Amino acid sequence: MKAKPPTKNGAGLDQDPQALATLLQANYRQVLGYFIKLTQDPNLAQDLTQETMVKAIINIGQYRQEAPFASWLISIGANLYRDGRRRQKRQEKHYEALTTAGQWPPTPVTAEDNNIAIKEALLQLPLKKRTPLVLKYYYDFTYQEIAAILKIPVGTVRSRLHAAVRELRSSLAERSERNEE
Amino acid sequence: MKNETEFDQAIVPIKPALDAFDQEVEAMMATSSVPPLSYFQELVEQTQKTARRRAILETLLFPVVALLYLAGLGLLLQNGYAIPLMIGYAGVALFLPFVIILAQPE
Repeated sequence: MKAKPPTKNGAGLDQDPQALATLLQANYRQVLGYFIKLTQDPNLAQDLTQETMVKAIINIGQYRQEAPFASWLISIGANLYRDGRRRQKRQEKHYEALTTAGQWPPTPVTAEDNNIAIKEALLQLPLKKRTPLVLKYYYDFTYQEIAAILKIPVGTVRSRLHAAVRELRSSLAERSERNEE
Repeated sequence: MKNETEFDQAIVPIKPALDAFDQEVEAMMATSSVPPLSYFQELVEQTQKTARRRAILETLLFPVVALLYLAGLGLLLQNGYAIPLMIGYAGVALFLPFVIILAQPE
C-alpha cells in the first residue's frame, strides 16, 4: 500500500497565486498518476490533470485545510472524470441510435503476462468500482474518505470495493486457467 | 468487506499484479517531466482572469435580463395580452415540474 499524498495547507490560496501555482506543481504528479491508473491512457490523463487543475483554481475558495491538498485535487478529478464519462455515454447512446456502426471491435489480446492481465481486468471494471479500488489501494484512502470524495454512502463504498476485488480475482483466475490449458 | 482489514486480506492474491502496475505507472511518470512553475503561474493567472471576467459579466447580465423580462411583460400587459400571459404562466407552472423531473441526470 502506498503512502497518502503529502499534506499542504490551502488556506488563503485564493489570495496568493504564487503559492497556489507552487502547490499545483507539487501535486501534479499525484494527480497525473491517479488518472493514468484510472484510464491507462497517458494523453487522456494529461488532459484530465490539466482540467482538474483549472477546476481547482476556479474553486480554490472552497478548499478547506481539513483534507490534504492532493486529496482535494483527486476528489475534483474523480468527479470530473465520472461526469465526463456520463456525458460521453449519453453522447455514445445518441450516436448509436443514429448510426449502425456504433460498436468498435474489442482490443485483441496478444500478450499474456500478469501485468497486462491486471491492466485489462482493471479497465473492464466499471468506473464506479474501479475508482474506489484505485483510491483505496493506491492512495490508501479510508472508506469514509472515499465516500466523501465520490459523494456516496460508506456502505456503497464497501460493496463496490468488495465487488471490484471479487471481479479482479476471478478475471485473473480465469486468465491463468486459460494459460494453463 | 465490512472493514479495511478484510479488504487487505481479500486483495492479497492480486497484490503482486496491482503493485507491478503501480511500478509501471511510476516508471512512466519518472520519465515524464512536470511542467515548470511558470506554466502553473500562467495557468493560475489566466484561469483567475477568465473567472473574474465571467463573474463580472454574469453580475451585469442578470439585472439587464431581469429588466428586459419585466419590460416585456409590461409591454404585453399594456397591449391587452393579460389572458394569453396568464395562460402562458399556467402552462409553465403545470409543465415545469415534469420537465425538471424528466431532465434529471442519469
